[in-house]
Amino acid sequence: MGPAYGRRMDETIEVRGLTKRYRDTVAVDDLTFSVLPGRVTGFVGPNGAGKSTTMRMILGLAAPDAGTASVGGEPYVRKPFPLREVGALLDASDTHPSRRARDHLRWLAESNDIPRSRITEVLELVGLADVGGRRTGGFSLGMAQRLGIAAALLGDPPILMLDEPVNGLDPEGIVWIRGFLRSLAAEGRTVFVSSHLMSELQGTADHLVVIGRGRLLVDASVEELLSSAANGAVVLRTPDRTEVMTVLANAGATVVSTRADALSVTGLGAERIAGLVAEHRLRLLELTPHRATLEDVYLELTRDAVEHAARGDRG
Amino acid sequence: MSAIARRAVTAEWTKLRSMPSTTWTALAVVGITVGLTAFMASTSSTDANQAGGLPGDDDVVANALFGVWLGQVAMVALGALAATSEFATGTIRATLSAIPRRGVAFGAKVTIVAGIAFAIGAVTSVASFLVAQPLQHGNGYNAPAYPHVSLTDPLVLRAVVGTALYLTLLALFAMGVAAIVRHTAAATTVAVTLVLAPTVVLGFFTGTIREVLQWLSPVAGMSIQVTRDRFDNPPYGPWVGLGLTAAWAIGALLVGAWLWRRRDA
Repeated sequence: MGPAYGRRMDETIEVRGLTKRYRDTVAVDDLTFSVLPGRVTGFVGPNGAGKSTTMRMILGLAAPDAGTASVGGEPYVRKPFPLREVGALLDASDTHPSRRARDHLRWLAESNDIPRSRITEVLELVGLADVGGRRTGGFSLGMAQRLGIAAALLGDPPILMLDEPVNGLDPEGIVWIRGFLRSLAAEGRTVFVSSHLMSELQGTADHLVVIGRGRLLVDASVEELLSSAANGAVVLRTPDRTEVMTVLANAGATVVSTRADALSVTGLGAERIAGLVAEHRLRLLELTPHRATLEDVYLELTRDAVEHAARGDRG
Repeated sequence: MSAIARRAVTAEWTKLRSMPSTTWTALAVVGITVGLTAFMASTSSTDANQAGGLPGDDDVVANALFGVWLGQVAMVALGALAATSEFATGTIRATLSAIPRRGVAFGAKVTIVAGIAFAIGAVTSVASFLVAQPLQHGNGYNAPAYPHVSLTDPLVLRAVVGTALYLTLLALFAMGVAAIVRHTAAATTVAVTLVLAPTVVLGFFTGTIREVLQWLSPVAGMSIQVTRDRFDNPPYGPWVGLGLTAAWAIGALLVGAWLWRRRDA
């Protein structure tokens, strides 16, 4: 392994006008986005939004009705050693239940001329070193998920594409995978991770591609999303409600009284508010800047796009 | 062979070997064939010598390979499982991610199934022949009517090696059917039915229909075992018969390969 692999960290995933129709539904609708190296890109949407279908088209497993997907500048199917360029986890159960975990990794390694020593390495990396000799049919969902991640890492690829990797992992596993994804991105790799839960990606993803009903809703950094959603409101509690309202209104803020002793203030920052209140020798019981969570943003974005049809999406 | 093809073949070899069903079906092919042959050989006796020493018309070589009639069903299962195991388990997605050139992936699987099937077929037919010999001798199949034969006699060699080839073609036929049908139970049922149905219904027909059925049957290749002129021999020679089975295998593989390349995984 190591540098002999000729790792190219400048590889991106490019999706252009990708469209996939099934008999009476459009699973993926004219989707265009890029996934760049050095950061974790979350791919978010409700179940049935077309995330898995998009990933399968990127890998050449499903043929698009229109548009193109390329990885590192060329279609995936052209690559002579695809597993060394792209590591993908689609469905953790995509293994033969009677085959031993180590054998599963072995044929994958052989197919791409990956040294056999790498099998032990990735098994250790995902914490399956002790069960490599077991048949995958006896694996728990969490173990299967770890094996799928091991398979994706086998070729030490600069690009990783994982479909709902958190699925089935125990709390310890979730913490582990989050840290792991961050470290892969920190190494300069392109990390593309799907989830139907925005909260799973909070603190992990740097960038988000949000889709609903196969259409692109948002392609933006997490920072941009959060600041666009936060309206800058500050909530405060005070026994001197009327006086505080007057002072803040005079300073140009919009003040709304929400409870007997509570006010919601927009147009002024928390620090400025605290300063004004102190200047006028008024009392303050609590001062809280209201922060939007990704979940708030997501719910707002997907309100119209939520689809409860499980059909057409395997994730 | 290109580098990609070589890697694909190596991977397919590991894949097929690491599936326990391969071992079980292989054991079944050998066990069922040899068992049925032994049963047949130990229960059939001849009175040819008593009838004035005239040469008998029993085909001792074909009889020594008779168990293949049943053993071939397990071979069909082996060939079918090589392909359906991909679809039934989702392994196909891993396979086509690792080897995205679909033609190469399919070709590698054909190569490995052919190789394994021929090895199993060779062990099966040699074992069947060798087990039958002493039993046949003990039941009166001796000179002058039935001079003893050996593996190295040209006709015996043709029958024994030909049987291994025949079983290989059947495994490939089943794999082709499985690439079309994709479900294990359905693929095995369809393949076994196609293989055996013409023979099963043959007895109900005479004349032209009977002859047409014989020409259309995937088991036509069993004629490679014929070493004597008999009234119930098929209306074509040994190699033509094997060619007919080959045509079934090639046809199924061509359609299977076409679908393998076209379908979403």
